[in-house]
Amino acid sequence: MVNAYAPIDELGRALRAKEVSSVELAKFYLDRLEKFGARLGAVVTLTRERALREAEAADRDLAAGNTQNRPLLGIPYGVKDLLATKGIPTTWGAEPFRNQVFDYDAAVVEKLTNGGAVLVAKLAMVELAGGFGYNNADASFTGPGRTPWNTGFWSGGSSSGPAAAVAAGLVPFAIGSETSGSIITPAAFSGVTGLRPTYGAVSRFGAMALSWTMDKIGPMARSAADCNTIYGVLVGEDERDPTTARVFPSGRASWVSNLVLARAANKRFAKIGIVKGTWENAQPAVRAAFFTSVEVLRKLGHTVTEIDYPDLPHGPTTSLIIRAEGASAFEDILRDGRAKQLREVADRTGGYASSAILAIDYIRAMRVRAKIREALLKLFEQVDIVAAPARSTVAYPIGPNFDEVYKDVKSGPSVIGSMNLLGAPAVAMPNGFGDNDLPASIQLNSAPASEPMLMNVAIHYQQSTYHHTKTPPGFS
Amino acid sequence: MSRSSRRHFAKLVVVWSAATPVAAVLRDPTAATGVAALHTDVVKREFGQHLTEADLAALAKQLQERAAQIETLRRFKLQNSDEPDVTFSAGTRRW
Repeated sequence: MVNAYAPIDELGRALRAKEVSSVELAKFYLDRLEKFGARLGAVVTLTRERALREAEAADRDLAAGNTQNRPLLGIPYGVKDLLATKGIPTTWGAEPFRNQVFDYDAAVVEKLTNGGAVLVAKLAMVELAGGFGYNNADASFTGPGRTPWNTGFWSGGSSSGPAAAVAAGLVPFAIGSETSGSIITPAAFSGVTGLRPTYGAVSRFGAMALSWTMDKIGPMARSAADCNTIYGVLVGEDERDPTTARVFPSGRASWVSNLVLARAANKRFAKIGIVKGTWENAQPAVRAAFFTSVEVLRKLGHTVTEIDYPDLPHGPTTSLIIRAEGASAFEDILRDGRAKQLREVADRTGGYASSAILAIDYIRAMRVRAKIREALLKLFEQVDIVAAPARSTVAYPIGPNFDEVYKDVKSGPSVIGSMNLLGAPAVAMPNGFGDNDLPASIQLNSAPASEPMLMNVAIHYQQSTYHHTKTPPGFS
Repeated sequence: MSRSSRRHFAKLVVVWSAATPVAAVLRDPTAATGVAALHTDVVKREFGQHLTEADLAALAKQLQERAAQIETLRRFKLQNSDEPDVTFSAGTRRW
C-alpha cells in the first residue's frame, strides 16, 4: 500500500528495498491523477505511455543497483505545461498553443529523466504564465486550478496545477516556474512547499519565455527537504541557457544534501529580518500564523528583528518589465490576433496594452531595477534571510475577479516582486490555516546564490513543525 | 510596423510631446488620460483589426492603470550614470 503523501526519501527507500516497483508507483499516481485531476483542474495531459516506459527503465536500474547519486530514481513527477516534452503537447495553458508539440525535452526534464525520475503528467497553468495581466482564477484553457483544501478556491498561479497536484498527493513532486510569484503564491494557496531558485541557477532551455530577465524554474513538493533534493538534481550550468553561467561564485556550493544539512551540528543560526508592513494589514489568521512561525524560528536559535524595507517602486518596476518583455515574447499572437483566443478577459487585451510601453519607460524600469538590486543587496549585508507572510490572504475564491475580493487587506511592501527583480531565491512553507480552512504560508528569501543556507533554515524549521505533513480531506 | 504606421506614430509622438509633457501630467492627473488615450490610438492603429470597441475600452482602462505606474517610475530620480540592470558582453561569453 503506497502512501500518496510519502516524502521522496521514503519512496526512494521503498523502491530500493523492493517493497514497491517504479511501475507500481507510476500506475498508482497515474490512477490518482485520473481520479482527482479534473476535480482540481490540475492536469493537462497524462503521459502514461512515457511514464511506464521510464518506470520500467528505472526498475531495471534499481535491479542492477544503478542507484548512486540518483535520489529521484523511479519516482513519479509532473511538470508545469510550459516545459517542452518530446512528442507530447506543451500548451503553455493557452488555447492558441493547445496543439503545440516540441521534438525535444526541456533541460530540467532531461535532467530528471537522466536521474531516473518518471514523468506522469503535464500539469495545468495560468495561460502564458499570467504575463498578460489576468484578473480572475479562470485563466487557463483547462479552467481554474482549485486548491484541494477547499475546491471553491483557487490553487494559485501561475503554477496552479503543480501546486494542486502536489497538495492532493497526485504526484510526489512537481516542477513549477516563477517570474514574479508563480511558485510562491500557488505554494501558499495550496499548502505545499515551493522553492524559487536564484535566477540562472536552473536552466530554462525548453521552457516558455515570458520575461527573459526574470523567469526561473523550481520544485514544488511536500517539504523543504524534498525541494532541496529535487533542486540538487536541477541546478547547474547549461550552455543552452547563458544565464546559468557563473551564478555561484567559485568556491561556493550551489547545493548541499539533506543528510548534511539536517545534522544538528550543521544547523545555521541566521539573522532573520521580518519586513514591517507585511503583516499589519494581513488577514488576522495569516498574521497569527506568521508570528507563530517567527516564534519557532526564534526558538531554533535564529535572531529575528523587524526591518524597514527599502522604499522603492518595486511593484511598478516589476510590472513594467514583465509586461514589456511579455509583449515581445508573444508578439506573434498579438500580430495574428490569436491573443483574442485567450480564456481570461483581461488577458485578451492585456498583451495589446503592453505593446504600447515605450522603450524609454522599459529602460527606465531596468535602471530603477539596478537601484532596487543595490538596496536589497545592502539589506542582505544586515540579515541573512528576509521573511514575510507568503501572501497576506488565503486563496482567492473562484468566480469573482481578484480586485473584487479581500479589499480590506493590504499586503505592504512587494517582497515577492522585489526579490524577483533581484533574482533572489525563496522558499514558501505552509504555517497554519486561515479563513475557509485554507492554508497560510511563510516566505523566506535570501541573497542570490545562497540556497544551501536558505534550505538549511527551511529544513530545520520543518523539523520543528508539522504543517507540511497535513493532508487535505477528500483525496484518499 | 509599416512605413505609414511609423509616420503616424511619429506624428502621435510629436503631438503627445507637445500636448502632454511629463511635467504637465504630474501637475494634472487628468492629463494622463490623454496619454492613455493616445496610446490606445497607437494600439488601435497597429492591431485594430483584432480589437472590438469593447476591447478598446478595456484596453484604454488597462493603459490608464499602466500610465499611473509609469508616472511613479518617472518620478524616481536617476542620474545620467545610472545604467540599466543588464550587462552587455562583447562576445566574451564563457561558452
